[in-house]
Amino acid sequence: MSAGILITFAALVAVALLLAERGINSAAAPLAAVCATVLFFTVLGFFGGLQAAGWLYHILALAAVGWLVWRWAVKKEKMPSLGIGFWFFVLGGLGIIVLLWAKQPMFFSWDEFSTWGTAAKLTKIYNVLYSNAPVGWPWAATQPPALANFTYFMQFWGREFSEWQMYAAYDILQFAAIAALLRPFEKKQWNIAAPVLVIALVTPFMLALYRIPMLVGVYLTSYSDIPLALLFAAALGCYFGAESKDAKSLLALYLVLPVLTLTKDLVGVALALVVAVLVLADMLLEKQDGGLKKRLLRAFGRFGLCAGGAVAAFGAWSVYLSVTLDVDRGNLGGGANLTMGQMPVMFLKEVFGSEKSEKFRQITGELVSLFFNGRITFLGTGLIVMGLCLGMIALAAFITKDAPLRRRCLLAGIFVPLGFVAYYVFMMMYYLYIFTDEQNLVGYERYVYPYYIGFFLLAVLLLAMAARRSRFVVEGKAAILLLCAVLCLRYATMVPSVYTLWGVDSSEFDDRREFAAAVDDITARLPEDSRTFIISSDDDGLKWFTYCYEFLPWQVDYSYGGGSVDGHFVVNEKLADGSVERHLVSPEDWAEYLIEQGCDTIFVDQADEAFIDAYGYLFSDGMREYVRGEENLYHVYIEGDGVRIEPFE
Amino acid sequence: MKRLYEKHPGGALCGACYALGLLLLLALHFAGFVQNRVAYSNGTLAHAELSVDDFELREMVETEDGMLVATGGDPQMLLLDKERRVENVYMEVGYSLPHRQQMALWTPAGADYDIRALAYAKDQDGGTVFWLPAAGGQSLRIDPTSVPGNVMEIRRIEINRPRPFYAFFIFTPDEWLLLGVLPALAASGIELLRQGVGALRRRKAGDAA
Repeated sequence: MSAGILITFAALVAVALLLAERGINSAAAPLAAVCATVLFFTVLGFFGGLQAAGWLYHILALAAVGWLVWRWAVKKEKMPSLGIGFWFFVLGGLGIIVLLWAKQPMFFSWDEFSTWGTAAKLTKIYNVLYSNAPVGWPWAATQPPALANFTYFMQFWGREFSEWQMYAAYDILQFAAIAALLRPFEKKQWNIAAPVLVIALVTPFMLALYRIPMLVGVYLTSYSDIPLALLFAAALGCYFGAESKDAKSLLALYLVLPVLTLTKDLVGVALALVVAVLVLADMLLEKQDGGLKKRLLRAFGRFGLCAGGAVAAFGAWSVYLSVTLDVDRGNLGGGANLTMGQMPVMFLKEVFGSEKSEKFRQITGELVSLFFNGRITFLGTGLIVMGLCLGMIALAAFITKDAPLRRRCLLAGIFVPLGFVAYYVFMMMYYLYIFTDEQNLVGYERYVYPYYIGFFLLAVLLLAMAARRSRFVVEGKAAILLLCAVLCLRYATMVPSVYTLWGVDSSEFDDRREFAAAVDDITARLPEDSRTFIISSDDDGLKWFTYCYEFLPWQVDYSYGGGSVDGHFVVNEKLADGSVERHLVSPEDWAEYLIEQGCDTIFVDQADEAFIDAYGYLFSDGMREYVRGEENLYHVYIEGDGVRIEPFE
Repeated sequence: MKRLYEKHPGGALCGACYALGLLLLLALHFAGFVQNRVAYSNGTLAHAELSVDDFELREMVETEDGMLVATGGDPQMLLLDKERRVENVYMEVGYSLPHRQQMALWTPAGADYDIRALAYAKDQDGGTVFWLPAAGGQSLRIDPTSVPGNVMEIRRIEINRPRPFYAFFIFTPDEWLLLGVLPALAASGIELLRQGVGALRRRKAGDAA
C-alpha cells in the first residue's frame, strides 16, 4: 500500500509541528523530529521493540495532533510562525513522495544489495534491528542502523518492503537537514533563503560527483554517504545558525549528532566529534557575562551534550553488537587486525619513527597527492573546494556588520580546516590498517566528500547570514545569488537530467523489475524455510548479492560463483609466478558442504561447461533439464553419506 | 493587486515571476506548435510510412522471414537520411522477450547523439510513439530493445504522424525544473535590485541632509 508512507509522513510533520509549538525554530523542527524518530526507533529496537515503537509513535503523533488542535482551534492560541525551511520540508517531502511513487525506481548499485538495501529489507521483514535478522551468509553487521530504522519507520504501514519508499525516506531525511540550514532566515529574507535552498539542493551533485557514469545516486540512493554529508552540514548549521545557545535553540544539534554517529560506521562518529570540538572552541572564545568558572561550565556543558550524545550512540551500538552478536567492536579487524587503541599508536610510530613501511609511504603519499590533484568533484580538486569555502568565509567576515558573526567566521575558517586535517589523518589510518592491500584507496571520494559538503554548506550559510546585514546592503545577497547561478549553470551543463531522479524514465528500471518478478516465480515454488544454493558461473558477485536480497525472506547460501565471494567453493591457489589458479572443490566435498549447510534447494542461474563436467553427475538428470531450459530448480535429498539432487516437479 | 503587494511584497513578486515564467513557457510551446504546422504545410515535415530497409541496423540482423534479431545489448536502427526531418515516430512491434527500455535519439544539427536529446516510448493506439521536439530533428536513432536475443517483428513504422494539439504542451522534466527554480531566483534578483536602489536613495538623502 503506497498511502502508508503518507500517514507516516503526516505523523512526522505532526511531531515537527509539536516541536515548533514548543519553541523550537520551525526550520530546525523537521530535522529535530526526524532525529528524534530515528533515536526512538533505535533505542526501542535495541530491546526488540521495533514494531511497538511504530505503534507507540503513531499514538503519540495522534496525541500531538489532538493537543495542537485543542490549543489552536479550541483555545485560540497563536500558531507559531512557520518559516521557509518548514514549508520546504512539508512541500518537498510530499513532492518527492509523489515523484518517487510515479517512477517507482529500484536499487541499481552494488552496496544497495550488499549492505544498505538488504539491511533495510531485513528490518522490514523481521521487525528487528537488521543485525539480528537471519541471513544465509556470514553477514558482517557493523554499519549502524539509523538509516535502516528510519526507512522502517517511513514504511511502517506497508505490507512489503518497498525500494522507492526507502529512497523517499532518505530524501525526507535529507530535506529535513537542508531545511535546517534555512533557520537563520526570516520570511522577509526570502530572497536570501531561496538561493541558499537551491545551492543546498545542488551541492551534493557538485561535490559528490565528478563524472556521470549512468544513473546518479543523489536523492536516488540508499548509500549512507550523502545523507551523512547533509546531516553533517545540518549539524554545523544548527550550531552556527542558531539564534542563541539555550537548550531550545540547540536541541536539533543535540539530536542530530547521535544520528550522524549512527549513520555510517566510524566516519559518523568522527564527524560528530569534529562538530563537538567546534562547539567547544566557539563557546570558549565567545564573549560572555559571568566569571571564568561559569563560562567554562557553559562551554563544557554544551560540549558534553554534543560529544556525549555521539559517544553514547557509538557505545550503545557497540555494546548492542557485542551482546547480541558477540562482536568485539574494539577490534577493528581488517588488514592489520588492530584494536582501536593500537591503531593510533601504530600510526604515530610510523609517522615519527625512522622505519616506515612501504604501504605507509605509498598510501600517505597517494592521499596527500589526491587532495591537491584529484579532481573528484565537479568544482575541482579538494584544494579548490577548500579554497572556495575559505574564500566565502573571508568574504562573509569582511562584509558583515555583526561582530559576533565575524568572530564565528574566523573560528570556522580556522577550526573546520583543522578538523579536516584530523579527519584526513583518521582516513589515512583507516586505509592503512583496516583496508587490506587489495582494497587500496577504494571509496576515497565517498570518505572525503561528506566533509567537503558540510564545510561548503557551512561557508554558504555564513555568507548568507552575513548578507542579512552587510556593509553595502546588497553585496552579500548578490554574492549568494551569483554563486547559486554558477552552480545551477554547472549543474545544467554537467548533469543530464535523464540520469537523475528528476528526469529518469521509469523504464530504466525494467530489467530490475523483471529480475524481481523472476525471483518471485522461483520463491513461489520453494518450500518454507528452504535454504537455496545458487549456481551462477559468470557472476562477479553483484548477481549473487542481488539474489540474496531478492530471495529474502528465503535464505540463500554463500553459493558458487560471485568472484571473490565464493568462499568455500572455489579454492584460489596463488602460483609462484603470482597468477591465480582456480580449483573447484571435489564433488564429494561439495555434497558434504550442502549437507552441512542444510541447503535443500539448488537454483541454477547459469552453469558453465566446467561446472556441468565436474558436478553434473551428482544431478539425477545430469543437468539435462537445465541445459534444455526446462528446469532451473533442484531438490537436494540426503542419502546415506551423500546427496541425491533431483529436478523440481 | 496593489493591496496584495503592500501586504505580501515577497509573495506577490514571486507569484508574478512564476506566472510570467509559466506564460513564457506556454508561449514557447505555442511557437513550437505554429512552427510545426508551418513545417507540415511547406513540406519540411511529411507523414510517411517506412520499412525496415530504410534503416541501417546495428547490433541486430534481419532474418529471411523479415524478423529482426538483437545480437547485442544495444541494438539500434539508424535513419541517416540527412534531408529527412523527423518530429515523431510511431511503431508497432512484436517482441519475443520483454523489450525493456525503448527510446529514440536524434541529432539536431548533424552532431553526435547526445543523451540529452532523447525521447522515451509512450503507448498510443496499440503501438509506441516517440515525440521529439516539435521542430523535428535529423539522423534519427531508435533503440527498440535492450535485451540481446530479442526477436522483433516490425509491423509498422510511421514518421511524422500529425500529433494531437495537447502533445505540444507536455513539458519536459528539464522545463519543469527550470520553471520551478528560475522564477524564484529571478524574483530574488529583482528584490535585490530594489533593495540596492533603496539603499542608494537613502544614502543620497542622508548626504543631502
